Amino acid sequence: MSNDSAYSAFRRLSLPSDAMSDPITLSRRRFLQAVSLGVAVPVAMGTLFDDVALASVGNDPLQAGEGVLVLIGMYGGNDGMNTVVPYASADYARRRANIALSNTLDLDGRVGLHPALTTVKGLYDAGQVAVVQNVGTPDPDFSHFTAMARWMRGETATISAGTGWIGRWLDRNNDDVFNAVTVGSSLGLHMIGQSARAIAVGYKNSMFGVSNIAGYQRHFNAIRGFAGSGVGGWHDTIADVIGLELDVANKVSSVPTPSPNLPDIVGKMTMAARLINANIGCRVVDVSWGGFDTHAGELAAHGARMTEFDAAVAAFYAAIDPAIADRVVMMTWSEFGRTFSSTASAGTDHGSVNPLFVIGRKVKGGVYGDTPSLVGNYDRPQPTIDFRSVYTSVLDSWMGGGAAAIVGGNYSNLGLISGAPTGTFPVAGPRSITAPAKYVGIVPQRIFDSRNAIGTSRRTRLGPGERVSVAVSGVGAIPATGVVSVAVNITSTGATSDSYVTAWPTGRTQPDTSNLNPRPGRTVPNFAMVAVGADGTISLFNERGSGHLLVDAIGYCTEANGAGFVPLSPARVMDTRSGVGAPSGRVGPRRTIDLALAGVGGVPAQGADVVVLNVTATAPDGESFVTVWPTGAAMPDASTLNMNRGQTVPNLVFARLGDAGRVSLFNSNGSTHLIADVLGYFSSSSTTTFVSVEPTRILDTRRNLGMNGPVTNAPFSVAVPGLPTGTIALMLNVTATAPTTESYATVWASGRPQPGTSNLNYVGGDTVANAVIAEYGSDGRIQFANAFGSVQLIADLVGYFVA
Amino acid sequence: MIPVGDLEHLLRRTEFVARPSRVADLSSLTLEQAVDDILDVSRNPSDDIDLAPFTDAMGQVKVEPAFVIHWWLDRMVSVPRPFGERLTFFWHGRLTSAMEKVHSAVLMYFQNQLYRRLGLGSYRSLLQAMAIEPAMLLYLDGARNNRTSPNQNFAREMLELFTLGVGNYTEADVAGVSRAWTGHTVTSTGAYSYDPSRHDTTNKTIFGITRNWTGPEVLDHILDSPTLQGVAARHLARAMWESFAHPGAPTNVVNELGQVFVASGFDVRSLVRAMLLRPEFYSDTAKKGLVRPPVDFVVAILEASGFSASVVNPAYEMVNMGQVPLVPPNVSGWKPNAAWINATTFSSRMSFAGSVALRMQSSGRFNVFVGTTPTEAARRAADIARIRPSARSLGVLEGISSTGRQYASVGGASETSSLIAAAFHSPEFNLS
Repeated sequence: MSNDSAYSAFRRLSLPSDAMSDPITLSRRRFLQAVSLGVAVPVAMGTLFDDVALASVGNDPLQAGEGVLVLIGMYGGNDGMNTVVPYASADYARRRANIALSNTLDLDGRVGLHPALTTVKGLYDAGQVAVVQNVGTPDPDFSHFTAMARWMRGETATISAGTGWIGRWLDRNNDDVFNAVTVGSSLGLHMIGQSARAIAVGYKNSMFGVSNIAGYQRHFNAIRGFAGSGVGGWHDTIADVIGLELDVANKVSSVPTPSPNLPDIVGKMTMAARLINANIGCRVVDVSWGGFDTHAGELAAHGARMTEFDAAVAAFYAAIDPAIADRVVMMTWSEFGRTFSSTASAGTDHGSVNPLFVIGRKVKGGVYGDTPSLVGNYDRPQPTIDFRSVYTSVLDSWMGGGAAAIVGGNYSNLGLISGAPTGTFPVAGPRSITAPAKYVGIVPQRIFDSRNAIGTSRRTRLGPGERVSVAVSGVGAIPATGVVSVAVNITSTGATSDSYVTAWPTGRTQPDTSNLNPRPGRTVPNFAMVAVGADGTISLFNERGSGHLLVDAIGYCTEANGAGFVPLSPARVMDTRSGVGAPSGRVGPRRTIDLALAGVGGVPAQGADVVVLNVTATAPDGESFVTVWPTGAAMPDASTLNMNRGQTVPNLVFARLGDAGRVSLFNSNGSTHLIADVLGYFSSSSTTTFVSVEPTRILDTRRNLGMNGPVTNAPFSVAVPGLPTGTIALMLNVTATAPTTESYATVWASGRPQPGTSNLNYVGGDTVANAVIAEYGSDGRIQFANAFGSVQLIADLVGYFVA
Repeated sequence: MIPVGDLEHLLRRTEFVARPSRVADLSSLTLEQAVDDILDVSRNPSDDIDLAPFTDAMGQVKVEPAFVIHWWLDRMVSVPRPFGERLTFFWHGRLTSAMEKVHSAVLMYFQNQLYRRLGLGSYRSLLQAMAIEPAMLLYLDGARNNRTSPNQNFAREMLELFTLGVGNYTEADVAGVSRAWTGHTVTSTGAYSYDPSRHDTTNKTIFGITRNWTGPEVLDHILDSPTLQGVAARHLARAMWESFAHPGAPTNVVNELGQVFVASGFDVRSLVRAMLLRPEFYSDTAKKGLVRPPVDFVVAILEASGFSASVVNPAYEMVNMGQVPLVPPNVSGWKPNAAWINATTFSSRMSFAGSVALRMQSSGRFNVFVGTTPTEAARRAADIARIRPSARSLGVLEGISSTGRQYASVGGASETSSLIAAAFHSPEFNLS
């Protein structure tokens, strides 16, 4: 019987680029995977991933005072005595004649570091390394399996139980799937909790769900649609996990990966730093590598491991953002130390105690614990520091507490940490998802209608949780190439339930934002500027209930020729209640008003192609819709605004100017008052461009984001940081919910007086959304005000105009 | 006549996949007739591998684990009565051994043959043979167990996991059983041998009885003792129910199946037959109760695609899916359901399914979508994957060829693989 066959097979079963080179290491690696893969996860049907599915996916940045822990596993049993060397003991050379180290890096006159650990020595000299000696598990049995399981479990009860110490910490703290990440291909037992578990992220092999190929992106988007079937049992859990996997893959794909040719642990530590830099919620990052089971030929093999370890620490500090380096503590561990005496084959056997390192800028440096005695021939002493004391020190002083419950008892805190985590993540600006582009207005054109099989073969409502993609590029007046985003009016009708609809570029992760809020018995429109996916489509999602959706394209942004935006202070250019811009009096059924805009409200007499308006219908006496289009063109089969009796409904309109600089407004049924506020215009002589961003929530008064809610009539301003110099206006989607009375909200640039205009109208109990364009104040803020009563306001940034 | 939903469920659980040919063959039978047909594993071909090509001049046999893994996966797909392989896999995860310690794919293969040969017969014969099979002697250190230095590894796991369960024996029993099993060992060439000089011939006290026990006598006692045999029968009945039906076996089902098992003289076929005839086996809880394990998932893809394992090489992706034959995670075998689902395991599942779907498209054997309607295309993709899609899943499959201008004509190149892959990615396909 030979091990050779096992070795070659294991090589085929391992990652192709694994730099594993000897059979012992390889089988050890497989053993470790055995520990990882076989853990028991006792859960009732369908409960486990309900929690995970509800957790956010990388959208939960770290809060002030939250520390980050990097765990560095040395699998196989590191030889601690040749890592932290008791060189001052005469017995060291006696007992390890064939593997004794010289030129160690002295720490305290008694022990010195392995000569390869120069980076660690430098950090020690700076007071940032705690060397904790004589650590171990009680009553060791010298089995890799038992020792590994105990360290991973963080307690010493029966090894068949199924949770680990970080997993149990996660059970208490989990609110984002990125809270605990293993860089590697499988999760160790220590990363698995009762209800929560870490995720594994590779850095050599990309996850399923990331591609630039349009057909693949369509596929990824399509299979998200399995969710929400209502079948029950594991069915829906599986569907949710598919979406989770795609979200994780997308989030990870935005983190740059290190070169695959680095030594394993150096690549993993570089990836660890980049995951932390990305501020996607990582509190524990777990890395490990093998090759420590040095039964023979130890000097070379162990020396190589030490060189790799030192390089990994250096690589981590080179990669971590200096602003947040104080947030990080790293800790090494290994399942056991090795025998104090070396063997005839210049190696060591499985031992018991070990030193470990706790490293960080907030670590109280020094040598802790007794140096093991080498007197006599004792090979495997009992530990003097229980491994759970180290866990307790880190959990209680760095990770928010709870150690006694997590490790199952009160173990002494060794006082390894000198202070609380500090350092603020640099504010990342919203992530651009399109190139800067110019705008081209078109005659409104319907590109999707689920009632009438336009842009789809269906004539059925979208169901709960359903996603559809809508072709944009190459449809009608929209060019087949060069379109980076599309201006659309999305209308919901025939909804069976309150819901929300999200629009986003196909192939990208669906954002946690919404564009409009369908309600039963109402037809609800909203304008949106949506980046177009690589396959030329946009995606729509209906949260719950079922309902029809209609999409009218009114223009597009292109990298080719087009117009630039010029913002204006909001000005009322039409109000049929007072005779501004149009005759005083209600607009009757099938009546059209031609509104002159050239030379009005700040719009120049010449050169404006498209005027941006907020059009509001108020006091309609029945159900109706309003269409806005260029005067002189045929009225398109599209709608701008839908209203029900007595309802005040606004919508943002990019109105292309027709004959004599005018636009036409048509009211279909009953009579209504119409109001129009001008917000700016597009001109081919302007050089400003529009950039779509990953929708980013800048205000949510329900969650005290940007402003504590609910808000009353006091104006307040919200910072929108991270935008480039020259940004002149923002494209927002603003939602009002839980208003106490009939009211409206106004949005405008900070540093300017509040205009007499409105962006959003609501009555008690409503949830309504409207797209808003607002000038961007020179101080990087915009202002909001509610008129009457109180309301909760939510604003998502979807793009900006930049000069 | 068996309701088709029940029959497909029965076949997925016993034969990995509800093959349309099997559904057709069995649909006119009674449930008893269908179960007997499924259990007729004598129709399966021999499981002998010609080891001559793997034997070197010194007489050493060197087989790569991946070879055995692929050979076994192919058998799961191709034999006429796949239940023989499904049951063998059950025993592999139950009376476990693993490459990590056995270090020989050949010995793992011999154990595999043993479980196939005896798996549906006498439980007593199976246990007695299992205990002295070289793979087991190496895996649980029986080969090191001798009178001067007893090793408790096998004794403990045999009592705790294989036969009785925690609470039905004492630490003193573990010590006694270890001594009783001394003397059985493995030669340097991997053969079983019994060395009387290593056997402890002194008296041991086991289950309160003091005498000169041998190992086989302990197993016989467990199956013969009026106080232990019911425990042992229920222990296996529960494990079998949880593997084939759903976790959380109802107490009355376990008790009644245990009675059947004892009454049959511990005949495994009688136990399996009784299990598959229980109405609870066809309950909604059972039908929705199991996530498809990676082995079943891979077998279903091989069956749908017609590719052999050596062509699509699933072993590597199965590591990250969480289940590799010959490499159970530990002595207690694989855990069900939640253990199979997280972002990492699904990344591997979906990658593997996607790559096979691309190969299926390139093979030209699946050009069945051209010129169909989106709905018909969706149904054909579901048929290829042997699933009955929910309304939602059918909608997803339809959407692949119906949404958007570019995809107005069904059956375009990338659409074929996308349709097939989406069927493999569906929740229906990922359930047992």
